[in-house]
This record gives sequence, C-alpha cells and structure tokens, in this order.
Amino acid sequence: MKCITYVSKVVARKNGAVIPIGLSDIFSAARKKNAELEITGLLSYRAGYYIQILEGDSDAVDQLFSKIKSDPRHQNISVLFDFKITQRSFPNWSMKLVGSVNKDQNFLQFMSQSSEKIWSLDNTQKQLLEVFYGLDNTSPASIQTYQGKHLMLFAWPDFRQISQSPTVIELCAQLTKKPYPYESLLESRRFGTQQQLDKILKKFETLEILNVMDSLKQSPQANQIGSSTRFYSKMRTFLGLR
Amino acid sequence: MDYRKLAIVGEVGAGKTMMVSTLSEISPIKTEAKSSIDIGKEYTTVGIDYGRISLSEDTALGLYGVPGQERYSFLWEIVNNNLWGLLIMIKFGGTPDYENLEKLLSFFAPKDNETTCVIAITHCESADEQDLEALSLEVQLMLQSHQIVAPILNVDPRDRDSAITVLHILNAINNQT
Repeated sequence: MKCITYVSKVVARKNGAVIPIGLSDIFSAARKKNAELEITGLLSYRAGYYIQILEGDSDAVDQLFSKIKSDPRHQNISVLFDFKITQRSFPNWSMKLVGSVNKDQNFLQFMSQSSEKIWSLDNTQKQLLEVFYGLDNTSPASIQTYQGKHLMLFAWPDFRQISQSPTVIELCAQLTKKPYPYESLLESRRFGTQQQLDKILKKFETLEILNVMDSLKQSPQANQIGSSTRFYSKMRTFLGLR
Repeated sequence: MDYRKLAIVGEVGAGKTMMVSTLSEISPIKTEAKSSIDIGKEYTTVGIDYGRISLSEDTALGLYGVPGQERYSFLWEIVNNNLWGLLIMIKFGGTPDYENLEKLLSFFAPKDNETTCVIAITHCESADEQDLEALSLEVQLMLQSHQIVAPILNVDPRDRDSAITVLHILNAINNQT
C-alpha cells in the first residue's frame, strides 16, 4: 500500500474570487469512487487550497492521482508525501471531509507519524503545508477569558456539529450583525450561566466561526421600543413563542 | 399598517412556491406555467408567488417567492425594498449555480443593506449526511467571500414546522441591535 498527500490551488472564478466551487461534487464523487477502489483518506479546504490524502493499494492510488492531476478543478498540484505504508491512517473513511485539519485527531496522528518526512520537504512544500497545519506545532492559543472582549460570528455553525437549541440560535442571532460585548451577553442572562455561555463560545471557537475582538468604543444601543420591536413581538406570538 | 416583506428566492425546483403555500394564511397567488423544457417538474414559477401572514389587525408579513434566474431580475427589483428578510433556497443534488447565486447576492446585497439572510437547503430528506455537510461547507465559504453571515438550514418546505423554523431564526436575528 502507499499514501499520497498533495496540495492543490482552487481555480479562481471569473470575478477573481477563490471559492471551492465543486467541493461538494469532488467529495461526493471521491467517496463513491474510493469505496470501489478501497482507497481511504481526507479532504480539506483552506484559503484557496485543497489538501487531500489518499491511501490504499499502490496501483489504485497512482491511478486515481493521475486522474486528479488532469481534473481542471485543481491547479498547481504539489505532492508533499508519496510513500509506502503498512497501515492506514483513515481506515474508516473512504474520504473524510474536515473543516480544520488542525483539530482532526486522525490528521494530527498522521502528521506526527510523518514528522521526519516533513523536515525533508522543501520550503515551497512547507509553506503549502502551513496553510493547513502549523509546523511549529503550536496551535493558536485559545482565549482564556472573554472579559472585556467584543464577539461576532464569521459564520453560523453547521447544526450537525452543535445542537440547534433555542439558546444557541438566539446567541448566533445576537452575534450575526454586529460585534457584541461579552459582558452584555452575560448580563442579559439569556444564555444561561457564565459557564454555560463560555461552553457554547468555546465550541464556536473550535469550529473557527467566532471572531473575538478587543473592546470597541461604542456600546450596542439598547433595543429601541419601536416598530421593529413590536413586529418582533407579534411574530413571536405568531410562532407560539410567547 | 406595519407591513414587511420576506423575499424567497431560489433556483428552479428549490421549493419556493411550496414554501409560500406552507406559510401563507391566504391561498397563495401562484404564477406557475407549464415548463417547455425538462427541468424535473411539469410547472415552474414565471412570476411572483404571493402569500401573507397577518400578525395582528395592522401588522403583516408578505411572502414573495421569486425566481432566482437573472432573467427575472425585474421581479427582484419589485420586492427589494423594506425587506424583513431574504430567504435563498438551494436544491440539494449537484453543484448549485454559484454564478447566478453571486448575481443574486450582488443585487440584494444583504451585507450592505443589512438585510437578514437565511439559506435553506431543500430536497435533502434522503440525502447522505456527509454529502450535505460538504454542500453546507461549500455554500458557507461562498457566503464568507461576500462577508455574509447567515445560517444554512436543511428545510422541508412541505413541512410547516420546518418552514416556521426559518421565520423563527429570521425574527431572532432581526431583533438584535
């Protein structure tokens, strides 16, 4: 068996935007094809690049990789690792889609087993790997306390990864449009105790969707009792929430 | 009269007409016509599907289902003012038409107009969970490139509870200052 790990550049769109259009197609097709060929591995996207790990029978992996190289959705394919293996790192995944490889146990184990090979990479290859994985082995320090910070979401969570509870929805809603001070979240008591609130915020951090900012000068305005508030209340009544 | 509008936009077959029907208290005014080409269903919307939810005697939410294709952008113009929310419906199965979606986002400009936006992925009742996760991630990355923060929900427009969840989330976001 062998393992190939490569990084490729996502093709820029006409307007210059780099969005992984086709990621869902690539993933879906890869899972079906890989299951047939008994190939396992991982796929992830970050900042305009894909990283993919393929492992399985040597001929099957080589054959698949040569098809990937001619796929127009990948540009500047750079092979990071190509070596023989006796054991798979992703035995249960015909293709594992990972949002952040830095937090994936299978990937971290794979990298720790490949540590010697990492240091034989050239600088370009190391830079590509660093798009996904910190080579200094330090992940960004988790925020210890949110005191004095303003919070806002970069994105809403995927509700397969966190409970779609009313509290989580309300908190996401609060952090959608403007940065909001942590203290005001606490004082409102809408999100439980400090421990409960921090637990949800930590989860958002793990999912890399929480923007934690130093305090901003202006505080959010208190809810205006105006037509918007009346509309909100009436809609809640309609929804059976009050 | 406090009257707000919810624009429900999406590609052919995403379930806009059904969404309006499920939520509306009145028989929706539908503008479906028999399709001349194979789009996977016999009828498609060629105008605005209109429905309404009365919240009190003097408060109502208008529901406007409009086609997502750019050639119907004259209909987008009709609904794009005083929007309470923008619901973009995407049908699961195959890569969405992102080029068209980007035109739609550029037109409605939810970031600049501070319009609350929700993405509904439909036809996913029997979809594979991992495939759905991949589609959600793809859509999320597209939204982030437009600096739009919006929830991506799996929605069954035929199901009232599922449709109501969309209103609940739009309302929750709109209430924040």
